[in-house]
Amino acid sequence: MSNMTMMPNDEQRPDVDVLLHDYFQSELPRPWPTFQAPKQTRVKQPETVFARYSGRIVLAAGIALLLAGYLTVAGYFPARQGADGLEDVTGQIGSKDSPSKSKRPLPPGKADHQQNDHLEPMGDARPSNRRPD
Amino acid sequence: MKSRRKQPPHQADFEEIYERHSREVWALVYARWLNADIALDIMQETFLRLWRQWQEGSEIVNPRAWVLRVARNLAEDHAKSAFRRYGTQPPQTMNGVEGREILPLDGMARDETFGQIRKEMEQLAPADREILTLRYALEYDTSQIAEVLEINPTAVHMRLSRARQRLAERLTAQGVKETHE
Repeated sequence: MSNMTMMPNDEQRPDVDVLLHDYFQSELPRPWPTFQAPKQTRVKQPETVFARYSGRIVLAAGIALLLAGYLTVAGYFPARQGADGLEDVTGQIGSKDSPSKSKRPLPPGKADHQQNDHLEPMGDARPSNRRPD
Repeated sequence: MKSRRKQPPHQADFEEIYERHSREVWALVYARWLNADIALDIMQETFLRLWRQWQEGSEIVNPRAWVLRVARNLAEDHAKSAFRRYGTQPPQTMNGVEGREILPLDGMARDETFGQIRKEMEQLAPADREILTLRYALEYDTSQIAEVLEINPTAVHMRLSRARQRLAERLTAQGVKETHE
């Protein structure tokens, strides 16, 4: 084993090979570390077209579902509405018909005429088929 | 150095590469920083990256060239981070002081001598430091050094002789003497 000392003004030339060998050997880690493999990391799978656009596909499907639901529900309600957004049921008030079977309200004159169609004529107003005596 | 996708090799193959080339990686980083701990950290980071590459299925045709190149890049990246940490004063200018434990008296003279060697090594060109590290730390001969550094063996021999001569002159001027017991 070699032992290096500082000797100022020493005429003896240092054996640089020994010095460097000792220096570098002292710097070299001992024992040399072994490689410790890290725990299995999740390898990133290559993306498919579906995986890349899956978010957009789900969003589009959601919007389509909402639209279809809206149209389906809207089919159960009458399309015609009043100016205030409510259904115009003024012609159905007092009627025994269900709202779904209600008839379309008629203009006033025609409505009176139609209302009297089912009444039997009475008194002099009845047209006479008999021959005058 | 081309990489291709293939099945990841066995861990035994990787350990063989580690055993064969890890010291060379350490030596090159050490030659850059003259700090054994930094060299060890960068060596381990280099092989960790190689391991990840293998796990991802990338075939590395020349692992030795790959790890040496990555280690050099990491050493340079460390230089940039060290600049942020120490400003314009690199850590080796702080007289190579490492650790906080009190050194035993009989080791102080040796450490002082080694401090002088480190100081003189800093004055050498990085390429000369690489040759000296491979020669004296790994005990490589001229042809092995030439193979690692991809240079002519004659050039290795010349540079090694010149670097050794320069160090001997400087250490003599510093009054460093080597004695055997």
